[in-house]
Amino acid sequence: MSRVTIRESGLFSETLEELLRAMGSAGFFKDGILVGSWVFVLYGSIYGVEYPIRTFDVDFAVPPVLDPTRSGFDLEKIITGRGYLPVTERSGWRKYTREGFGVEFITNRRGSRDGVDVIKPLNITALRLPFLDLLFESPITVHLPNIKLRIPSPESLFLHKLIISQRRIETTKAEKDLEQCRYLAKIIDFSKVTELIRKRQWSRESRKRLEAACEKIGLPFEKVWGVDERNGNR
Amino acid sequence: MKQVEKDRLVQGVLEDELRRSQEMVRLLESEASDLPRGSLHLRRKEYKDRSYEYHYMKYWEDGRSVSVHVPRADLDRIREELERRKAYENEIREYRGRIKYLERILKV
Repeated sequence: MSRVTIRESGLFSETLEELLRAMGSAGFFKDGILVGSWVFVLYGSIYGVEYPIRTFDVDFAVPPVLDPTRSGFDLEKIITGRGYLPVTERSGWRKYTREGFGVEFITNRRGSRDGVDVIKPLNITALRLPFLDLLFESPITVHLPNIKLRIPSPESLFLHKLIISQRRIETTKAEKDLEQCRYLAKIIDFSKVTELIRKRQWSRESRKRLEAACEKIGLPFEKVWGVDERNGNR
Repeated sequence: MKQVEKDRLVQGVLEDELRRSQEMVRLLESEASDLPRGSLHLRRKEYKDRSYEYHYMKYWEDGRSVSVHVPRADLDRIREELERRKAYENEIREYRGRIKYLERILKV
């Protein structure tokens, strides 16, 4: 599934809907995707699995390198033009807030360098986070009434949550990641998760983390990792 | 999922939101501190049968009211910055209200 139409309206608050529409019209979702707990609102509508917890902020992921053929636009202006106020962290990461609701951008961290990327063509900054590139694997284009946006496939979000849950320092966030994995496990095609795993090299440490996460949610590791073709072992 | 685990998860989400709100207040205050505070006023003066008008900014400092003349060339910028400061202060109020509420339910 790479394209889906949702006829239901009112899934998001009016304010968020207006922002998504403006970002979509400007072309943000050609490269970017909606991530975080708000994606579950759409999964609920597509797959019928409700994850009830929403946060007071919305996250968007942007690839560190944008399509060179795209024309840039001032995304910050689009956001602040809708009454969102910018705030800048010491790291240089700029976030936005309106009536207690936040907007943040994140991007993939290559290597071990923490920090912030300046996404010049869009005039925004994005916090680098590991394994975020997974979310860009086969994203779903969602057509809502008057809004077109992209979200990660449930398989890639599942794998992403599984791996980052074991890298978290804060246990409550790790528990939230695992809880989301439990919900996603009800709707995903595990063979696609295995395909995603096969596409990249995993360090021994990362494999151990995946194994530990599977154990915590009561999922057999082979179901995710698949069978090692060379020796028939997992 | 057991009820105890669910409760812990909800508690964790609320604690995260409390932390986010506190951090946001700190960031908003820092942004607001770079902007002028006070209010803009217009003063009319009569001098030798002629009337003059000029703008001044009024604010409190160390317990006393201070008035500062605003040159015409700076008027639009100052007006815009005062409005922006007000927007930041309203946003801070929004988060403070939420912090109070979250602290009450989390019994912090």
